[in-house]
Amino acid sequence: MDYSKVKICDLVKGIKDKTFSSESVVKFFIDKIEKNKEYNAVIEVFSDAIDKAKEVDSKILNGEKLGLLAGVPVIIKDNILAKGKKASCASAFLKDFVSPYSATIVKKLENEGAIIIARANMDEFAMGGSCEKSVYGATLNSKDKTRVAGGSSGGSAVSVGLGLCPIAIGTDTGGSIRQPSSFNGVVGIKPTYGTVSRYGIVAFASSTDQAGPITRTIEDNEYVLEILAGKDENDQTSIENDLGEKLIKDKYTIGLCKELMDKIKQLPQYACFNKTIESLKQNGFDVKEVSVPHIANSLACYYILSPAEATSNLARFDGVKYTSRSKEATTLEEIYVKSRSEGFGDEVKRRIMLGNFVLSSGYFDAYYKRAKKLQVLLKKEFESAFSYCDVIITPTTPGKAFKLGEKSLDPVSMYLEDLFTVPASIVGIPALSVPYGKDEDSNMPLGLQLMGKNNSEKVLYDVAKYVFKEEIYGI
Amino acid sequence: MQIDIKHLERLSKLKIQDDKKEKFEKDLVKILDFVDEITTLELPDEDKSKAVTLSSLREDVVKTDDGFDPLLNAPKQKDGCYQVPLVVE
Repeated sequence: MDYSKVKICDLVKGIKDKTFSSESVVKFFIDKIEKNKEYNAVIEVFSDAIDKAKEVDSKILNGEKLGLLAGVPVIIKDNILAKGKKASCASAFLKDFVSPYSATIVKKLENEGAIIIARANMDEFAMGGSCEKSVYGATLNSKDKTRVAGGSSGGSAVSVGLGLCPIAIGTDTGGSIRQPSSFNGVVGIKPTYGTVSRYGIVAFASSTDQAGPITRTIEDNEYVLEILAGKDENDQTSIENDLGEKLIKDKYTIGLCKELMDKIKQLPQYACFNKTIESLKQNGFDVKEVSVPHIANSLACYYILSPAEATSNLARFDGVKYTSRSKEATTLEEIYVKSRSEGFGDEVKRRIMLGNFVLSSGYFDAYYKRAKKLQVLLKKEFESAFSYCDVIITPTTPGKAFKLGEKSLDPVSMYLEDLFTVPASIVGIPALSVPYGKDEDSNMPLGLQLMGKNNSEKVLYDVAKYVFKEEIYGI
Repeated sequence: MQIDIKHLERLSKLKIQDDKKEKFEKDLVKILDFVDEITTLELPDEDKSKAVTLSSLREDVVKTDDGFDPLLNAPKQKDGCYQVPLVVE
């Protein structure tokens, strides 16, 4: 049986009903991972996965009550800790790091009976938009092996795109769930900031980091997010979020951001975008222009704030506590400098140095402080825009997945990929990417991004059902 | 835009290989030019930038994860402590 086309709730039902066993499901996916090794989506399959599946099966035989993900396999990004297992952030620096405890979300998934079967490839320390910057090598796009997976959660999105698991968990700081989801024709959400606990997830930029599910369908995505969401006393920025259950209604007002429309009209996918707007109108939705005057400045804001926060967060990797230590080092200072210089890749070094630049004396006021001010202003502008509409839509990315190596030498061209995704990160609002069309020339999938006000994820899922094209999955 | 790459290396506790320095410098300048628009934007003068609203703090009670071993990944350890070279003679 091909379990990769089965909805999560049906997998759970089938396992609980004993129509099929968790063992057979887990074996099916592990076998598929082995057969698709060339994509380099998965770094390691965990050796205890089948035993854990057998445990679930025997619990069912014994009539024990099981959770919402009983026996369902999950792949986690390599920056999420699962006790006793490696988590390397795809970095040489953490290649042998063994998680001393489990992330809150891993505990939540396991409490519901999920089986964590593998860890997925990513851009080192989640810094990148192509999944090429990994110590394990690039992940290939699930629809075209000559193209990038997208990043940084490339391994997670490709895993779902290839049907290597029903659920992959990614993290998103400036678009790292949404962009690879768009590139691989799958569904990915960055929830409202704080919805999903960050405890046990390696920090990149703490004020925008969020984890979220990547799945094949919208229904699956909602199912998993409900499990992941919730306040956690180990993450003081986490919040109670009912995901906007009460905001569900029959008709919604869709906003088009005035300041981005000129740019969107120039994109090759504009015809597809326009068709989507027309179909939303035909479904009785109001579509109107809204204004977020400084939205185009979000990229500058993001590429100041995120390196600044990364600089602080990555200071803990020093060759003393849990990273590898340079063999060349003889003094404490050398331990720091040589270990970090050997351990971090170039993109990570670039961002650390950039962060130190914008935080350094003489530049702090001009860059960092102004970026913080812009962040506050953008929050207000989005709040005002959402007083006129329920959801703002944009393409998730300016284009389809690009060719491997096409942008890897020029960091700025890579950063421009994040134009549509960073605003939601900076202001903390939820944003969902769903497959909504294909590029005419290459047949590559394209994603539509739906942004909503804080704690309105269910509204996004509800609207997305009108634009989601399931047939895009598995081209 | 000019940058002092040596100063940034010092602040970052990093040493960039000599043959990569030029490319690093070029890329950093390019990125800074890219974000430079922030320096000329008209922004409201607000000194309280509330980027993150912290929710309530938990009770100040010591809790430990069962079996949590902070030294699990230490590259060098001795007597339950992280070990580094002698710092003070």
